[in-house]
Amino acid sequence: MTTTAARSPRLGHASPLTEMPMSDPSYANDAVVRLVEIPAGGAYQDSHFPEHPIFPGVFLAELCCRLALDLVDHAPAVWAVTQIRALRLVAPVHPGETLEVRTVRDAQAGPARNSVDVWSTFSRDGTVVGTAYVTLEPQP
Amino acid sequence: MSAVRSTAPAVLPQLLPHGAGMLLVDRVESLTPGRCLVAAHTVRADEPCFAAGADDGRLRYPPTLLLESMGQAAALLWMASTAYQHEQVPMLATVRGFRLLGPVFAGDVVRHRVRLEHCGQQSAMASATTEVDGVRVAEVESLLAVGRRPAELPAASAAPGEVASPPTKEKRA
Repeated sequence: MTTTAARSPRLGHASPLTEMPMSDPSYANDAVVRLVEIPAGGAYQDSHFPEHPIFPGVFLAELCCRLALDLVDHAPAVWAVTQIRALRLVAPVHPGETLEVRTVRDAQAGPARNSVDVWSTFSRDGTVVGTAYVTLEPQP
Repeated sequence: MSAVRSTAPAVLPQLLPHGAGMLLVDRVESLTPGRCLVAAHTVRADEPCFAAGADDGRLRYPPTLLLESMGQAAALLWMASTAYQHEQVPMLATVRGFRLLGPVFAGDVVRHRVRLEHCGQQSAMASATTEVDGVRVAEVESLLAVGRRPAELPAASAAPGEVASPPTKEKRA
């Protein structure tokens, strides 16, 4: 397991996620797969919701953005998230669970520009719990 | 009249189920139940996401937290409608077409303008735009929220994946 902190390139915005242990990337065809351990707590997570702790759904989109970095060139070094084209939350994700995240770069989408469109599919025990589709562009 | 609809708009955010760290709406500035709402959040430099600082000294707010803030504003608009069924937890289900049009920094006051597109007892759909100093910085085509009964959700002391009580038949199906 490694953590997100050691990886480069990086996103240009502040991170709302605590350090998340994850497996090294496994590349298959055009996809990259990682196992991600959802932390038991965190500054934001602890208050979502205090009586019913659930990993915030928007953080699946944040994870998708982070894992997109596995699929981009190392230059430019800093990327901005410009779109969350779609986010679908099928089932709640609970602290302490492990998700398999399969991320694919969508080569068909978008005009010829220096942007990257990426799909992530989040699965728990083989069952899809969410999907996210984001666009990253080099940060000016 | 429900507790939500009888609450002064300025303090409506306190009715969201989120704790302080994840409560990303500070105040409701205007509300037309069942139709539209304007809500604001001041992005503070001491929010947890900024704890690590920034390489260039400019603290850019995560787009995902901006989206969460928009979603909370939309949830408040739904909760203030006559159709909202109480004793459920409003949760984000789908997002379509979120675009970040400009960066948001610590110190900015983001102002969400939310319009309710569809509203039922157990789900609602809204669209929203967000401005900073009158300039649009984000927009989302649709946010769909669903209501989940507390019994379907894990209790704070539950093990991972364990819900507060046995799932219902429809949940197992």
